[in-house]
Amino acid sequence: MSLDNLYRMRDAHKRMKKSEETVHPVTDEEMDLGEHDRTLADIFQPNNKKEQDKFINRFCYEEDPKMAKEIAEALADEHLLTPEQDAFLSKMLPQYNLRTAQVEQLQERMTPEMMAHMGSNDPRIQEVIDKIGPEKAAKLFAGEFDELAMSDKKKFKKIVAEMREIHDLETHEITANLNARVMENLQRFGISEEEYWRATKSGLTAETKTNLQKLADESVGWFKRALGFSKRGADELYRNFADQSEILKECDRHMKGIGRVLQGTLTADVRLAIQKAMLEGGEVKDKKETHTVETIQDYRRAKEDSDPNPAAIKERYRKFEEAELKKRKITPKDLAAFKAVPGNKKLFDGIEDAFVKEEATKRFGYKAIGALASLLSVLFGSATTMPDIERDVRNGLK
Amino acid sequence: MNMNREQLLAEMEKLAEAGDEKAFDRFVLDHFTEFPEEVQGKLLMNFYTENLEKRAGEAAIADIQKQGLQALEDLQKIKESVQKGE
Repeated sequence: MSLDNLYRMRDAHKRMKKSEETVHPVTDEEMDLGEHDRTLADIFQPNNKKEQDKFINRFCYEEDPKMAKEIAEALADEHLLTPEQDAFLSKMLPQYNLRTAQVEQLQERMTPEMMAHMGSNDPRIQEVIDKIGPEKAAKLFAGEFDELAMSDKKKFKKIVAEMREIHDLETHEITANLNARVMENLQRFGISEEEYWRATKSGLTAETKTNLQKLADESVGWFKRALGFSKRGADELYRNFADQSEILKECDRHMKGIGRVLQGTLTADVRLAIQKAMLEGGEVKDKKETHTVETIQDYRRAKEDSDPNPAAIKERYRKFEEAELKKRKITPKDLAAFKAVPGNKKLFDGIEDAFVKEEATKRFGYKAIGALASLLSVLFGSATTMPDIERDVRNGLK
Repeated sequence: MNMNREQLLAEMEKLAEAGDEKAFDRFVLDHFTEFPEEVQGKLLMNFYTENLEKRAGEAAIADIQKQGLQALEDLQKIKESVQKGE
């Protein structure tokens, strides 16, 4: 193949890839990058500090904290970037442009009307809207969404997937009375699988919960196989089965499998187990993250480990420094003499840097659920990016 | 009277320590406007994502029900066609 053809193929591939990616994240409508199609030179305009902060300290930081920090430091000191740093930014730029365009598209949906809709689904949101008005609520929400999209890729993708799920449900065929239709059809086809879910009838213990999840996983597996079977035509089945009675037997078996899951969707606890089985591929796993603050005990632990009070920071640093010096066989008794030697300053600076990094990483990683977010946010104050948190910790050491 | 950051934190910690989740949530909503804007944004986002997760789960169940009902119909058709000997 000629070089020219190769280039043409490469460009066509690029165009295809681009068009695949530039669709609306929720509606799949075509999306134009427009003003978001920026170059690095656009971002690094001297009057564009806010964008630079967003790109380096939030977006790039999430991908590679060490690299992002080094780049931020090099830029602050007006040093030239290394080829590796340059390559990293070039790799991140298209992703950043796409993400900012997606965020803008989604933010356009965050109107006062949408807030009102959200309020009708959640009394807490309604109460907030009553207090601050739908316009202010939409503005706050859109701002927080931007923050999240830049610094928490995993959560952003999860939210977008859920938005899609709901959008599809709301815009496609009418789903009202699905439960009633399920009941009618189970009766119509003479399927009764209540017995299968009997262990789940009353209050769930940890053991019955595990059992229920196992049942749900198993039945979802059968359900998926039955769906596949139902899509095969009779002709194909004739080719694969010995006789008619075999096909009929197989159909009955699959109808029973489907009926089992449908029956399960009529009970609250089973519905949850089926959702989990569908969404997680049947795997029972604990999704809790190490730094998720879900309970007051989690909060207490976070406060104990990361209390931002200067006295608490100094105390943690004292212990950190002691442990570091112990590794170097320097006892507290020799500390004063050791510190007095000017050549040892570098060592202490290094220990302080490591401490600040460890503290900031820990604090940055805390995510609180529900109203506990207020407790955590008030405790830690307004510093939310790594450089800001590091500054906060350093100030605490002064 | 509006509370400052320290007062809000002290009051929330007191409620949280008492383990009364409802009273804690009530306090946060009652004092919503006294929190800094970034905290207000975080709270709104948390309320939204929790609700979204619940609704997305319901949407997934609706999808299962729709697919299941369709599959029952398809399987019934296969049975009828086989019984007719087509």
